[in-house]
Amino acid sequence: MNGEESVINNIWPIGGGKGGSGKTFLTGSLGLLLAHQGYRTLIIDADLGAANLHTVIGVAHPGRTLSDFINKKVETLEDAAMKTPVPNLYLISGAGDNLDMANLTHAQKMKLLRAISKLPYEHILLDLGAGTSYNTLDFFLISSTGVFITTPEPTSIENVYRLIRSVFLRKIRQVLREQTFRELLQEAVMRSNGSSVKNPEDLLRILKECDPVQGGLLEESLRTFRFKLVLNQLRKQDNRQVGTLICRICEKHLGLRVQFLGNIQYDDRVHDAVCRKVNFLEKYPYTQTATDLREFCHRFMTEREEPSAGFPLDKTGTTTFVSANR
Amino acid sequence: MKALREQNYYEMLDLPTSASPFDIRHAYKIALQIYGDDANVSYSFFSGDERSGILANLEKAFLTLINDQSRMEYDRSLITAGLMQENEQYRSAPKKPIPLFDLEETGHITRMVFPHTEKAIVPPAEFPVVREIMSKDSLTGQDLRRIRTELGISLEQISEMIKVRRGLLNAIEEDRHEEIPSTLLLKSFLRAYAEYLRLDSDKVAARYLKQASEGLQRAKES
Repeated sequence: MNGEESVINNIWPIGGGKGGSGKTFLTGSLGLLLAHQGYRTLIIDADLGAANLHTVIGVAHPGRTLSDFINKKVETLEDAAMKTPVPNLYLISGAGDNLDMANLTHAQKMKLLRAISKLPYEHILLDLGAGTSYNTLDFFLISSTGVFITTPEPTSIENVYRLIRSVFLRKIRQVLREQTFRELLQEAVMRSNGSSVKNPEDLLRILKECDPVQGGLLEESLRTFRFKLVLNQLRKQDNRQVGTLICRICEKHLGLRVQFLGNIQYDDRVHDAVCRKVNFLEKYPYTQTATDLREFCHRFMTEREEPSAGFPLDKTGTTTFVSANR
Repeated sequence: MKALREQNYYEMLDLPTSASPFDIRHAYKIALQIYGDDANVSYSFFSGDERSGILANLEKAFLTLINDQSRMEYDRSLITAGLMQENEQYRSAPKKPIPLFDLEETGHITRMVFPHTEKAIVPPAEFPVVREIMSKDSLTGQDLRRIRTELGISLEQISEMIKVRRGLLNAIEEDRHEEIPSTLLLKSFLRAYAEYLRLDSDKVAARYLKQASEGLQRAKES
């Protein structure tokens, strides 16, 4: 990477809590669409230990992988990226990792996060793993523009709420110092008569009461989030409003603004494409699902700077752009 | 972010203070989609207690705002507390086009179930006046009107809900039966009217018609 050049990249972590909700599929498809539009796009398989992003874009045996960077076989993360059959689309795969890859040490993780934010690509999509481990949460919080994905099933919705709350709590932890956080937890436990605190929004409320300045700062930094939500695998009989209503709950009860980016129709042919190890969008471009994906990508690109309806935007709030070497 | 229990009824339902009854019904329906006991949208987001607390609050909010009388009182309390301006109140126009199609079937609150506020809606039988009138074996239009005013329901309200013109309802209440095109229609109007007031519609229709036919008989004889 050229030391003189300052790079602006957009990082989009894609996470969903539950396995099988379509994180990898969405990452692959969105990467492909962005690359088609001429953006230099990188997709990173951050599902450490259970990587298969390479498969959905039709790369069977990635030459270089993320573990080459972790194990210092390559100098920079940029060297771990490989070209894909699609022009403009690059991949950092997690295939063939060491089997203990899922358990990154803190230092390794921080190194990786720093390296990702310095990569010279216009768009970087992060395919995250299921669950709410610290690794997943920290990757999600690498930018304030994470994308949540869920299906209309209660199991998936349950897990996406869990992820949203975990991200919320992780952010509180990041902003407060260790000492303050512990005091806050104690105070909260005391107030709820000894039972454990389940909801991060209660923590925020208590903090605001005890320490208005700190609480205000924290609320401010939570407001800078521009999270998105996409509803995947919507069957014909499902309620199309589910996504909008989920966003409404987040805004009303968590104070988190989550923007709904649309529904993506369920299609059996997705399964087909994955089994053939080809990309769905190239194999079935004229399906409703493909149309939904293109519309999603369009909305994704045009509405990312849309001002919020419920919350006043602060001017410094757009932390979308991470500028390196400055 | 305001905790739900600190919000006023309008904020709970995401409504402006000038919302019409139609808007209120719509907002309540959406709220049920979000917070209802079997709503997938908020699945696992709330604990059982939180959910029934929220639902009880929403029901109270809805029932207060949907009734003209209690809404007026509630508005007044908001205005005195400085949470609302006088000119932001909803003003009901006495005559406005009646929505032709109520496709969402939001019309009859009487048919909705309010498990969390059972005591909030007093059944009509609890009113002594209503009990007394309903114990008679024939009913006049005057009786019906007394029941309606006792329950605090305006003619406009009932007319909009059961989709019968006010003039016709007035005629029924004033025993001018000749203005109703047919006995069949009269009977069905009576049943709708009684159902809206949560009375036994069969009894009301039968007793009223009995009284009406006796009146007709007397008119013929004289």
